[in-house]
Parts: sequence; structure tokens; C-alpha cells
Amino acid sequence: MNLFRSEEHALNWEEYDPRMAHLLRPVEWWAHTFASPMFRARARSDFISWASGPEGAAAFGELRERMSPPRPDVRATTAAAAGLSKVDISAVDGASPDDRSVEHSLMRTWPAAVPTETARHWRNTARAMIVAVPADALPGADPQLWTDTRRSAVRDVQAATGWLARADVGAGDVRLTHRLAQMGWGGEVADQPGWTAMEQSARAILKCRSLAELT
Amino acid sequence: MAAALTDPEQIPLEELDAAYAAIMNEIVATGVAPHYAELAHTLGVEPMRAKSVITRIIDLTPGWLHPGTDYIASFPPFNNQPTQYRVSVDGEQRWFAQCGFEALACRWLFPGRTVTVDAPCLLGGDPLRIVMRDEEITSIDPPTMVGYTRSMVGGDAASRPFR
Repeated sequence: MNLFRSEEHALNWEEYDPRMAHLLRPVEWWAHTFASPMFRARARSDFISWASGPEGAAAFGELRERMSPPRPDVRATTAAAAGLSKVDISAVDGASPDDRSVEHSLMRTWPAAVPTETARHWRNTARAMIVAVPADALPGADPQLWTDTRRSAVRDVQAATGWLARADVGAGDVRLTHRLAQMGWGGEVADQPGWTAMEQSARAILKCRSLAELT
Repeated sequence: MAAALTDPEQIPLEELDAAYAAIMNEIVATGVAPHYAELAHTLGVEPMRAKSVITRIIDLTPGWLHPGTDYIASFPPFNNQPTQYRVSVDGEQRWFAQCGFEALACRWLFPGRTVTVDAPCLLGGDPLRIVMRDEEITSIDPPTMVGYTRSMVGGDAASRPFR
């Protein structure tokens, strides 16, 4: 975490690692990065409480997101979601939209802690799953059931993330990604707000998946 | 003298808040982190209790103790052990930053004051200088200056900011 006279100087540093090339930035970018609430809050008289709470977790999540490497585009398909997720979503085959027993079964397969990498898989899965259910019902599907279920899924994601979810969210929309990444950080036990949000997001995913099964 | 020695993980957040603020205030005022025996006096607790509190705070923040000692080596954004990142406030050089990036965060501890960071470039040793005041970066010399890390910011203990 060092300063260099120029980009060329950094590139020629003997410890330069091209795998971290995305963190070679103008000093103005770093000044902005280190102006995040995480750093300003150090002057607070309750900094440890703040940093241990949801505001601190969100600030740290934003920081990590800002410094994360660029991600390849994710194709919004169920297969892509299944490939990205470490969760065996085949467990939900045949589930109905309201089958909570399947959710609970799936929950038990998750690790108690939700590290960032897992959160990243989840947000990709959520995004892909939502997009995997087009706004227009497929031929043969009940249009009302289609619409209701899709809206319900979007509402669940919205409730879980605080993000104003749109039914027409696209694969390139990073806002949900951003919010879920925030919640993924530091989620250590089941009573963490981040965990609850993950659970709600999972329910939305399951509904989408179930709807896909129905069609 | 109040509470006795306990498991660091059992220390209440309110006590950690008070200790963190006391350490930070001391560094801001003097440029030096207190020893746990000094912190004990400030907090009105037994020295060993203050030692446990410091241990816990270090666990929760990206700072560290000097290996094999009870001395605070790093308490970001500052470093108790001198680094190449010299920090001056209103022209007085008394502080050191943990790393080049944390040097940019020192200004939040000195509201309304001019904070200057002086450091040599790691390749060639040319002088670098950044002048800041609250939200404003008033000078970057040379203007081509960049920051780079080969370690993840906020990463695990093995990932030190000097990388």
C-alpha cells in the first residue's frame, strides 16, 4: 500500500504483481477511497461499536467492493447461476413457490459463516435467477401466476436488500450486486442482519427456480 | 480501579469504545501510542485489564502489536513505529502513517487543519508530497503520483500494508 512517483515507477517496482493491477490507481482515487465512512468514523467516540454494527459492515462492504477486481460479465441463465453458485440448487427441484421446507433443507447445507466469496456467488445467482424469469410469460404458463410470482420474488429481493428492485433488472445492473456484497461481509451467525437478508434473497431465488420448474 | 482482567472477547463494547478513543486521542495529540500501563491510568482500570483491552482492539482493527511485545506498533491510520510516510499537521511533523493509503486518511483526525504527507518513492527515492485539508486535496507533487498495493486492503493479518 505504497505511493509511487508515476505509474511507470509502480510497474517497475520489484514487488509489483500484475494480478493486482486493478489497484494501481492515481493518488486522487485512493484519496477518495480513504475518505469513506470507515475512515472518517475513527474520530467517533463509539468507533468500535459503530464498526461492529451494520453501518460499519456496510461501509467495509462498500470499500471492498470498490477495490474488488473487475468481474467478467455473467450470462443471465439458470445454468450460469448454477455454475456460479456453490449451493446445490438441484435440491429445490420440484419445489412449489411456498415450500419453506425446501428452503430450510437448503439452508442447512450452507456454512454458518458467509464469507465474501460466498456472498459473491449468491448475488450472481440471485441476479441470474431473476433475469432468468422474463417479464413476459412463456407459452403455456399461467400469465397471472407468472406475473405474481415474479413480482413476489422481486419484492423479496427488495425487502432483503433495501434496493429498489425492478422487474426488468438486467444482468449488467450492479446495484443488487453491490448491496448483497455489503451484506455478505462479516455475516457470521444466523442472527446477523446480513444472514436474514441472504435467507430472504434465497427465498426469492427459490421462487424463481420453482416458477421455472412449473413452466 | 474498576474491572479486573478478563477474556478479551468478553470486554463490553462500551469499554472498547472508550479505550479506542483514548488511544486515538493520545496519538493525535502526541504522535505516540500509549503503553497499556499508561492507558490503564487514563481509563481507571488495572494495567492488565488495559492490556486485554488493547489486545481486543487490535484484533478488531487493522493494527498490530510489535511481534513478541505488548507495544502498539500500528494503530491506523497511524504507525507508532516510524515508516517512510511522515505526516505533518500545520507544518509540524510528529506523526507516521501506517501506509501510503492510510496517510490519506489522517486528515479525518485533524479537522480544519492542513495535513501534509511526505514520502520517498519506493523506486528511486524521489520525494513525494501530498497536502490535504478536510475534503480538499490541495497539492499532489508530482501530479503523476499513483498508489499501488499487492495486498488486499482489509485483508488478513498476513497481508501487511507495506506490500
